Amino acid sequence: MNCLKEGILRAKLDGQLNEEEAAAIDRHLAACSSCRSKLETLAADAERVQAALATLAPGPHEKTSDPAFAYARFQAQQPAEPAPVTVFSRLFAARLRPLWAGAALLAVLVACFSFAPARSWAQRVLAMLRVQKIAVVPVDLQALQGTQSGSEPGKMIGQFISDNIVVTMRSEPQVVADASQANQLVGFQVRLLSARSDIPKITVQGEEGFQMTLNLDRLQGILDEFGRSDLQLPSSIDGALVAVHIPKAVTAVYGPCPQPGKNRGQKRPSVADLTGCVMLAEVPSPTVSIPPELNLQQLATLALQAAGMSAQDAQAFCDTVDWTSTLVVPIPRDAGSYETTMVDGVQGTLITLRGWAHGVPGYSLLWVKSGIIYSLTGFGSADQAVPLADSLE
Amino acid sequence: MSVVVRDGEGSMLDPAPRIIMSSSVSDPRAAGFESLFVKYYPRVLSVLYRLVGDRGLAEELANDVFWKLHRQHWLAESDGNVGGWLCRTATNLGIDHLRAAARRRHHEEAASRQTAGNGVSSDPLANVLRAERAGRVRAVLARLKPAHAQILVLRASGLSYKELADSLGVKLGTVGTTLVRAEEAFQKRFRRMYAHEEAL
Repeated sequence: MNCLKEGILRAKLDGQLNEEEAAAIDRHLAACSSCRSKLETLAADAERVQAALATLAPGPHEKTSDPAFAYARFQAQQPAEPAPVTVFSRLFAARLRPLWAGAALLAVLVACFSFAPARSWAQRVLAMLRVQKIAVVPVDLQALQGTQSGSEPGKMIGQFISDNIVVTMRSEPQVVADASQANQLVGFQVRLLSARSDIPKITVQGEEGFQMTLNLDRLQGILDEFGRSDLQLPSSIDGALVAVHIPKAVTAVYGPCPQPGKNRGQKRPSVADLTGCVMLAEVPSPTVSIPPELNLQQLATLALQAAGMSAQDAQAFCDTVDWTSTLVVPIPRDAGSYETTMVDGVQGTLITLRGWAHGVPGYSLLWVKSGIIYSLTGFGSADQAVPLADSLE
Repeated sequence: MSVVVRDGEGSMLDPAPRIIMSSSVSDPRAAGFESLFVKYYPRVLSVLYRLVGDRGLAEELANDVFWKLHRQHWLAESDGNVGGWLCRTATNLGIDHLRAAARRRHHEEAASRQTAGNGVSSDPLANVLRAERAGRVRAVLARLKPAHAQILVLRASGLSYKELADSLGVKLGTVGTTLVRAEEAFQKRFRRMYAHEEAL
């Protein structure tokens, strides 16, 4: 039998092995002086640390709380309007996809989301940011492998978001019959693809608002966990409040598109299955409110370094971006390419992904016009994107 | 500027930016919540007391933990691991508090004052020494990686390896190793901070 690992020996010390395992360990120990010595060292270390931690325990004179009494007090302290909290953590815990793990990390670090208690909120003068243009930044997912759901950084990000985001506004999506009904609900002119003769499924997505308070220690801890202790977040972010408001959006889905969450257990769709699927989204610019002292460019530079970019490249990219008016879309360097193109009379960005949803190649065309962000996403050749988008009316 | 989050089957490049969230439970007296509260409150309070060293504050934080649970009722519905979630959330809150206190640099003094009143001995000097040591232990915990501080405090609070695995979301087989690493880190940090004043 090979020598025993420390973890097993530690479990043995704590009596956390079953009888059979414990007996096997005893037999090995009887024959292995090296493991016996390792066990003695571990026992001494454990005893010292346990003794230190034992000083934290409540003393015997401390009265114990009656849970029933504590519950009555808990009920009495019920806030008048408890704010719901997001289940971002469920998303992160369950199926954290690298593509938006990068986005999540950027989001947390760049402080795209956040908020705070009303009293501090009112005391601050906030910078209001609005999207006027879109920029794409390639990120290196190798650097973000730690954001996989089972990993420590992935869990830390999920827990951070779960602990810190408070939803302030939410309304349910609503399926509508046609564009004019959507117009009435959203308050802007909804446009559809005249190049398509089929009738899309139009949904008005509910208005959303959420807020988060940044916590320097927790965010630095996440960077440390990524092995990037060299990146030091500025202390000015601690306690900073960021608020996001997303107005009502309209989505129009044409053709045989996959439905999120409903394709599990079925065979993976092929390009042929998804040909003709086009998803159009229109949303007025979300508003992000941040404290004026928050240096977005500095944070973005750090975030891009965390996503695998060199310090010089990150700085160079950030110098070209006005962070107060640009929606930055991270795409994995090895998953696709992007180009700028004229669309709908303005400059847009066409992203081509070799295999995104269900491994089928696709494209996403993004542009901003008259304060509305448009995205046109589909499967198959990206050549069809611009003509389709130009048919909007 | 915005980040789009969709559920795992989609992509951030999908249209329809959508934030997915739970609905809140409007009534904390909802069936089941009280029994969860009564079952787990002592453990949550014990974990928090160890971390912050002040009973009133620990009770406040424990209430915060249960409010979080109350707002995330999906927890109770989904995986059934409410105890693990509560322990993890309690230690996260406690460690956040501890770190903030450590940053303010008043922590050791404050902790000494707090714990001196809860002495375990009738000897006032012994109580003061114990309080001083507790303050140091908390200062060390505040400077460890959160995952290490979490496992040490939860183990000291009496959680079994199985409960630790559930709370920390790790495999049972890795608990022993994590504990060993956490103990090493604790000793190293303690010695670095206090070698000239006190042996561990």
